[in-house]
Amino acid sequence: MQRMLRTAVIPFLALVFCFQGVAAAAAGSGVVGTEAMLAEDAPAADARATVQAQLARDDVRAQMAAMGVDPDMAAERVATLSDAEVQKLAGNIESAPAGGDVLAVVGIVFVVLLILEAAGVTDIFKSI
Amino acid sequence: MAVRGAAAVVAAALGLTGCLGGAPPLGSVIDRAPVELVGTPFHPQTALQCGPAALATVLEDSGVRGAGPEALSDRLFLPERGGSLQAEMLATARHHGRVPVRLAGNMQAIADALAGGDPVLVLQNLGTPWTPVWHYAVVVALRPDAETVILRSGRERRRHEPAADFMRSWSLAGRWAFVAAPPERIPAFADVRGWLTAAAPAESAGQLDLALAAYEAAVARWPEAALAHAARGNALHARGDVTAARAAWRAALERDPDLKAVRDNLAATADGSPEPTGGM
Repeated sequence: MQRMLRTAVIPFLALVFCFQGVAAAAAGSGVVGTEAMLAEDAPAADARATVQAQLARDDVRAQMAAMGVDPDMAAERVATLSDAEVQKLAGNIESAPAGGDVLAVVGIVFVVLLILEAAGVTDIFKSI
Repeated sequence: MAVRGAAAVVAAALGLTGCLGGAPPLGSVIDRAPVELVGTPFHPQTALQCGPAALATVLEDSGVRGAGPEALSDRLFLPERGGSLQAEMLATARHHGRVPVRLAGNMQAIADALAGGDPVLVLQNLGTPWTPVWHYAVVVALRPDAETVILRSGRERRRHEPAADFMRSWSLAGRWAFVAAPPERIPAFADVRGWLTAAAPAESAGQLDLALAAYEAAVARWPEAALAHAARGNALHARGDVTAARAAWRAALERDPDLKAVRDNLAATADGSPEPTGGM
C-alpha cells in the first residue's frame, strides 16, 4: 500500500517541484554532495530524489513515534541521519537489527549452530 | 526412543565439528596480538540498553565528555524494538562530534584498530539466524594465546569470550564493527574512501563542522587523493564559502580530471567570470 502510494505520488510531486522552479532541489543548488559522489550508482541531486528522501524521512519519523519514541525526539533523531541512511531505514525499521539484550547462549541454540556448521550448511567463518 | 536418536545425531555432530573445521584458531587469522586496551572505560548496561552503554564506552574513550548511557538513550533506544538501530549508533556518534569509521569484516581489521589504540564497537547475534538476539559490545583485546576475545559487554567489565563464539556471533551479525575517531585523528587502518564514507553523512545532515574537519584531515593525510579535495570543496560550499569551495574542486580536478560530479559542481557555481582552467 505504502509502496503503491509512493510510486504514484513521487512522479507527481517531482513534477510539482519542477514547476515550482525546483524550489526544493535548489536547497542543494545543484551541487553534488560527498555522499552522492561516493555512491556507486551515480548521484541524483534532482527534485525526484529530494522528494523521495523527504518521504522516507516522514516515514521513519512516524514509525519511530509509533514505536514509542517521543515525537519531538523522533524528529530530532531523523534529522541527524543522512538521506541515504534514512532511505535505507525506511520500510526496514521493524526488521533491522536492534541490539538490546545480552543473553547467555542457550544450550540448544548452540547445538543447532554447531550442527549447521558441521554439516556445512553455513559457511560463516569464510575469510574471517 | 526418538530422544535417543536425536541425542545420537547431536553427539555425532559435536564429534564432527572437532575435525570438520568450524572457527579457525584466532592466531591463524591475525598477524599480531594487540596489547589490551586497559584504559577503555566501562559502562555496565541496564535492561535493553547495550547500545547506549557500548556507544558511551567508545565515545568517552575518544575524549567525548558528558555522553553517558542515560544521555545517549534518548537518541538510541527504540522502545518497541527493545534495542538500538545500527544507523542510529553511527548517527549518534556523529552527533557527538566523532567519525564512526567502519571496519572490514575480518579479525585482522579488529586487530589493526586495537593496535592503533581504538576500542572496537561490534554488533553480535547471540541467537540463531532465524531467532536473532542482537547485542552491542566493545572489543578491547584479542588473545590468541588463550583463544579468547575480551569485551566490555553487558555487566561484565572484562568478558572473556571464547574466540570461536565471538567469531560466530559477530559473523551472524554481518561482521559489523566501527571505531569512533575524532575528526582530526584518522585511524591508521582507515583508507581514504572509508574515511570519507564515514564522514559524508555528517555533511548531508548539516553537521558541517564535523564534516569539514574530517575532510581537512583527509587532505592532510592523502594530499594526492582527488576525492578528499572534492569532499572538502563540498563542505566549504555547504558552508557558503563558494570561492574556497571552487578552489578545492579545482584541486580535485588537477588530481583526477575524470571526476564528473566535481566538474558539474564547478559549472553549477560558475558566476560567469572566466575560469582559470589553463592547464587542465
